Amino acid sequence: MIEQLRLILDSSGFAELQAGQALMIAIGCLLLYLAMVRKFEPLLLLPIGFGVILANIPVADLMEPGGLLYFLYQGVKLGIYPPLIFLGVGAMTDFGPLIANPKTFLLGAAAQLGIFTTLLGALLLGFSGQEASSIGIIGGADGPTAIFLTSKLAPHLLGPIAVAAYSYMALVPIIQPPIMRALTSPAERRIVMEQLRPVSHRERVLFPIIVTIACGLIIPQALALVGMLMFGNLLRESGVVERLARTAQNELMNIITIFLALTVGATTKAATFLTWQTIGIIVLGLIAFGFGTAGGVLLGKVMCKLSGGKVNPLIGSAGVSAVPMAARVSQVVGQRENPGNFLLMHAMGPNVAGVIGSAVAAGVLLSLFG
Amino acid sequence: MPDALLATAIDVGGDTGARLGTGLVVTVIGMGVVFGVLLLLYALMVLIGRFGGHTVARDQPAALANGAPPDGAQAASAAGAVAAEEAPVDVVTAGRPSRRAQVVAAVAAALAAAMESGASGPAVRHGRQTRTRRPQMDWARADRMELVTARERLPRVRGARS
Repeated sequence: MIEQLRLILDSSGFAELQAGQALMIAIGCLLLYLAMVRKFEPLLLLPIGFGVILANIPVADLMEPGGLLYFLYQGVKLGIYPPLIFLGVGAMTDFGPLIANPKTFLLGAAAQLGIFTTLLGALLLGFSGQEASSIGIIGGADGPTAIFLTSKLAPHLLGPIAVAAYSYMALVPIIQPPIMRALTSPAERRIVMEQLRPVSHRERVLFPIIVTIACGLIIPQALALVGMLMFGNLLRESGVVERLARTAQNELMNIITIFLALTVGATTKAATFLTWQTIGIIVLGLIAFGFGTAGGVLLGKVMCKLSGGKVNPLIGSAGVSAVPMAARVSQVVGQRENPGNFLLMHAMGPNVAGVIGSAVAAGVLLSLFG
Repeated sequence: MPDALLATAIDVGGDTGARLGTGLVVTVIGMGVVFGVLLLLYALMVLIGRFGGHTVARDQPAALANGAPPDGAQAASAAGAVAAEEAPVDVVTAGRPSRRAQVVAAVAAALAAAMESGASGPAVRHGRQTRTRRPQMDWARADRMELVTARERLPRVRGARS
């Protein structure tokens, strides 16, 4: 009987557990804590954290060929999940503030500065072009875009890049405000913007069609993301397929989120995750976020000057996707200077422009390094 | 963009100088293309706004007000729902709303603040103005209703008078 017990013990995970795997399981638990107790992006960090734990329990081999997570991971590997997430995001997004004030497209473009400056830094640190592109895209603050690009260019970095991207997105309220305050004066932060004009139904319907055609023709590599984003938005705005829009917003979005986040978490195996490269990626990701925020705020300052003080530069920081967290940060920082100032809807313009901008940037990087 | 550039992946090169050069070229091209595409979209949306945006939908103010900041890319449906709760602020700031809409927004904001509600909190969508000769009667009636409902919530004790 003792022999049989020993046999069971020898074939258990305890016998195979290594220090690195134990550390990864602890990291998974930390992510669960951040999600459940600190409420940091719980919809993502919870499944990611659980995926980390699943992938690092020895013997089970859920991510090896034949394992459950291996099959689910094919949706990431083949680039299926991120565009489907974009479909849901499009169905949930109101592009009205952007249509009402299309100048904010430019803020969404300026905030992509973080992507390219970080790419430059990563190249200088010795990463390959594909790896540097994947690291730089963290600055887009757009999880699905980062996963989409990394799965195409540097799939071996998927785990650290996804974890870094989502962690920083959760930390937007901590990372952005000091940069915003450093680059703006109190007088600029107090600027009250004019109210947005109403947007017609026709404009709302034409918007996704025009964006799809324009982006698709210029950067076909970005069409999987931009096209799905705009298709989802057309479902919403057309008003004739409410059932489909609801499905895209809820059931489809939730199912894909579970599969995507769980399998992304499962890519963080100890052997590949616990390296100096991961630390480098996490540091570079933070730099990317900082530069992206600074780029948006600086262009906001330029627009403020050119418009005679009608644009509050704080809305520029929302150009780094991270919808709607970054827009809320603009609102909060603005209200700290002027409690009667409501920047939320003004910041939503650059915020959703940033989603399009980061998808276009991903398309550019795919065309250059793919 | 030149076809040659699109056709093949960029060779980064080995030494630092070459890498710096490549990185700068990619940065300039990348930012240029991103700005170019979004500038084009900006111009197109201005054109559409000028020629095709005159017909405002009947429910536009409401649509604008309910224009929930989307939940994000990461399926943050809960966060989006909270953002939707914040959106009524826009009724006041965005559209020259009617007095009624302002009242609805104010009541909704007060309710949300009082209950610190999240996505599942109550939502006020309509308001009805009542006219009485003595406004204080409304307050008295509300007070009485609160007393009644408070009594209903109390646990029943055997032998207690209702």
